[in-house]
Amino acid sequence: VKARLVKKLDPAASLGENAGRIVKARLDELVSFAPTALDRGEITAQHDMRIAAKRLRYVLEVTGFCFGRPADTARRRARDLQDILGEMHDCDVMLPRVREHLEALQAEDARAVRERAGSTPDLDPRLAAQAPHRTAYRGLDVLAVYLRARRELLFDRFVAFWERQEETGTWLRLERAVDAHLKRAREARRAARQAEKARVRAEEAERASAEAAARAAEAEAQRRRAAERLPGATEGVQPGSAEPAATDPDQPGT
Amino acid sequence: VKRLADGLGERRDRDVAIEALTGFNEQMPAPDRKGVSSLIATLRSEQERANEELAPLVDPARLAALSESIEALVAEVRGLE
Repeated sequence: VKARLVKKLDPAASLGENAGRIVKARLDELVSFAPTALDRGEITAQHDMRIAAKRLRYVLEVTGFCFGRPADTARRRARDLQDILGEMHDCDVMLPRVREHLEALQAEDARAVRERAGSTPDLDPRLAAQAPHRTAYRGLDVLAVYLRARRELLFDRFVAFWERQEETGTWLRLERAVDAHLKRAREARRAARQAEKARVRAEEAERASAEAAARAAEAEAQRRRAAERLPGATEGVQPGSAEPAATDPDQPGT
Repeated sequence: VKRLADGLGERRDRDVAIEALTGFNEQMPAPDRKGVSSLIATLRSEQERANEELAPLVDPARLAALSESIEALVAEVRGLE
């Protein structure tokens, strides 16, 4: 089964935030197989669940430290699950091979017995009793029985294991730890955005203040230049005043 | 990397199967061992063929090139930081 696409991955975001999104996707994937995989005959779902457990385990091996103890527990449980389902899978792969091998030996024996019969009108059972591989059948039959029984036992272990994880909340605690991490990351990002906005506002206010001061200085300089152009007026110029000071009404030019 | 992992994984699966069958067979009474032994022999001959297919994947020059390309990728990403 192909791995689910992980949405909202962002190279600019933190490792924990991106890892959290991957872990959540892999965990959802694992849990989504549970209802079907818990059905004894659903071999494909069990195989897919094994792959999902493997993917979750590997991402937790690399990034689990971001999410604390629940991730460590979930990583170990994912490994255990992968092992059980892996052994079930081995039985599922081996059983058809055993039957195929037995079938091949029997087909070979049938050809050999037929050849030995030659042109007789019917086959003598004693010829079949001397088939070259006849002593091999039994071991393969016993092996097939063993594989079937072992698979049953492993399936029972798998169901008990899964129920135990649900009881102890292994997956739920991982999900909560990841959610808490993602929430903290969102809040940190929001705080950073607000701090950035405040910084920009402060810069704008500072710039506006500097511009106002520059405008005032320019106005003052213009006033001074204008006052200097009026003969005898400079003596009475007061800083910050647009008009010359009325010091002596008897002086010319005032 | 995936091709290498798949190739080695398949090889390992067969190793594990051979080991498990050998262990199983040792627990069986001697007269019942012949069938499983012949299955083990079949798996071993498959293993030899699989080894030939695996050989180019684990060629040292190829592995070195893979390692270099991964290191280059890491260096490129570090350069972007």
